[in-house]
Amino acid sequence: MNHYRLGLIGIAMLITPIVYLPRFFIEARFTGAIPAIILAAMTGSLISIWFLHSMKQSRGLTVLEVIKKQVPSYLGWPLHVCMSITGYVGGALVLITMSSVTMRFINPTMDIHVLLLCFLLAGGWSALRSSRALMFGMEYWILLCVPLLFFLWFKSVSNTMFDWDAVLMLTDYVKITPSWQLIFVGSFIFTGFISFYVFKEAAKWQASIHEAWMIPLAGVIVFCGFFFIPFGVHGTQAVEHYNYIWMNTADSIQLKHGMIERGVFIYLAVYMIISLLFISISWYSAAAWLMNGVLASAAYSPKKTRRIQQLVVVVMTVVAFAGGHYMNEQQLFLFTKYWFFARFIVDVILVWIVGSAVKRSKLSL
Amino acid sequence: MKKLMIIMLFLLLINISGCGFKDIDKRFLVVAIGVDKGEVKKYNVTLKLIIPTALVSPGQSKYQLIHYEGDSISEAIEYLRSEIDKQLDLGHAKITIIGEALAQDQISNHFDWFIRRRGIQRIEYVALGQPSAKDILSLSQQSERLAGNSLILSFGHEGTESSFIVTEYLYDFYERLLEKGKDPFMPVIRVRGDTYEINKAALFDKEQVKLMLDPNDTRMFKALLMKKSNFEVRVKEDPLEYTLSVQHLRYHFKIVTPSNGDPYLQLDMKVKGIAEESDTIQFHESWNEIERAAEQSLERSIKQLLEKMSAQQLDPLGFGLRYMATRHDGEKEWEDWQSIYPKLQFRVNVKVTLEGTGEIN
Repeated sequence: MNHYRLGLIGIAMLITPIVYLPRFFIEARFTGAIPAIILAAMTGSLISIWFLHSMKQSRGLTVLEVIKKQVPSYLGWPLHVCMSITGYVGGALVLITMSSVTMRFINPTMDIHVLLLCFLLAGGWSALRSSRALMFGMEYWILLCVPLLFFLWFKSVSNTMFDWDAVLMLTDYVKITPSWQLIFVGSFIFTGFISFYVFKEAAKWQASIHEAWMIPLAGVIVFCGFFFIPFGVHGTQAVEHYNYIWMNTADSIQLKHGMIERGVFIYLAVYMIISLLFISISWYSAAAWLMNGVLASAAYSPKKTRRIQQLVVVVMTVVAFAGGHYMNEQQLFLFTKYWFFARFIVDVILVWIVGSAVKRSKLSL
Repeated sequence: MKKLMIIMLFLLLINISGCGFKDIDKRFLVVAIGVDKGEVKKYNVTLKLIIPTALVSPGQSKYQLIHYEGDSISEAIEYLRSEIDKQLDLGHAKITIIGEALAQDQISNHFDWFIRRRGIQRIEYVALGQPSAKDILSLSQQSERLAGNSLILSFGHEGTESSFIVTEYLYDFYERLLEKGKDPFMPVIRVRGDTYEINKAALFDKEQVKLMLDPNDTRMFKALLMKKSNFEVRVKEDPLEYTLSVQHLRYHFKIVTPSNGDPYLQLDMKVKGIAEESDTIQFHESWNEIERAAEQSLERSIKQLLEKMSAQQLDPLGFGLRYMATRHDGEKEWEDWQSIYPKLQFRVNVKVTLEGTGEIN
């Protein structure tokens, strides 16, 4: 089992409360959220497993190398550009959301630009690290964050105020036809890692694909935690009134005998780390996608490649800063929704192209 | 190049140092917020500000009380900002007290600010102040080491663990204001002499106080709400008269709607306890009768409480939510429940196990 790959899968799952995913589902709780996640789990897992299967066939190459070898370039470069844009936008959305949330909960009087700048510097800098450094960092930060997150979940659920009846209320709304949009959004939990498959460390395969079952299992656990716990804490009605539902759910956790009384600070610390990881990983891969697509034909020296990578990251940073400056919360929310749709479509096209290319190359062998 | 980058970064850091951050000595920490009905305007907001002292010792807590009237809570606070010399920091407020007069109408409107405003903790306690929130905040207990601390200790169950004090958090109150089939409540704080008296609970429908529970009912209500043991029951069944100290309590309930006959709520409770004060019980007598007497007492007081609440159509224990959670009719359940609750019968079944007669027999 390759734990770097598992880490990438995990990061894409854990980032969901920051990109409003629980809120999309909570708003649709009476109009088909539960069937939507079941369908999303099925489609998402199938797509991912198909993808992992084709990656396994190509013996430890990253998706970039596979495309380079087996996909014709007229298909390859638009794909690279699309993947790069969706990956980059994902990171930027997380960054903007996270800065506004941090400002609200840590220092409301602070200028948002300062926070944006801090996050941009940290994210941009780590996106320029070597892939090894990023993977090592991801490994131990996840090891630190996941237990803390589970601890917060446990504290919420074990509270006497936690109302299981409010959670059980949702059983009435299982047999409703869900909207397509919600399925697209939900599938992110299961397919979010696909664009990150550019790390050499994560692409190594041992014998089997036995880790594939982890994707639906972990995805459903993560989804259930983020979706159902707010109902037990805030009830079935108040739950939809909160903009950042998980910030408020974490703020409803009181740690009486801990050093920190408010659970929200632990949650914030955990999510600052996870967001920075997500930003750096998605920006690193966005830069990699772009450079492989646009510069594929020209052979540059390593130093020049590095310069171009730096330039790409600087441009991304500037655009993200402008985005953070001009976007209000409503626009951010809508934009995130459209990003989910775009990402789903691009991912499906990628998996389909790569899958069929690998299959064809195997047949011709 | 690298050096240049580092120098640039430092320059940037120097640039961002003076923004938004205010030192602790330039801040006023608000520990408690009181909201009353204003005489001229809609609200009279009182803030209890803590004044930090070098020496923390009992009875030496220093605080400043400021209040202002406004047509909205934010307006009043905006005015209050002009009265003090430091930055108001609401993020440390641990308790909000609502005056009794204000709780008489449209309570949900008054709470919008608390939920919407950034920086207010969701785990803040809420309580009802009698006669007004300002009177409650004006009192500082002799034993207090920090201003407002005695109220925080009482509700947090970190200090006293009284069976009369029900605790309500802001997030939970907001949930109950909106939830169908689960109504809000608040503990009631009164001033008696130099101390607080917290032994009542106020039950709300979605808009105003409908029922004030007396201390005995409050104790039972807390036991049912929080499934907390450690309370005493006075058992008075001829010829027995004793006090049972409840050590362990478990209960569950279900709502039964038979096709023929009235709907009823079946509540089964298991209690373990020891006798605490009595001159009528004997160690060598049969304990069955002693237990039976306690069962009858408990059943009666629970039933009384439940009937009192249902007579006012109040449902703080979430019976309606349980009804809806265990049925599968979607939106219709809520209408059904509204017609069922007024005629709901209560069948209470308590099983008491006496574990001992205390230190003497």
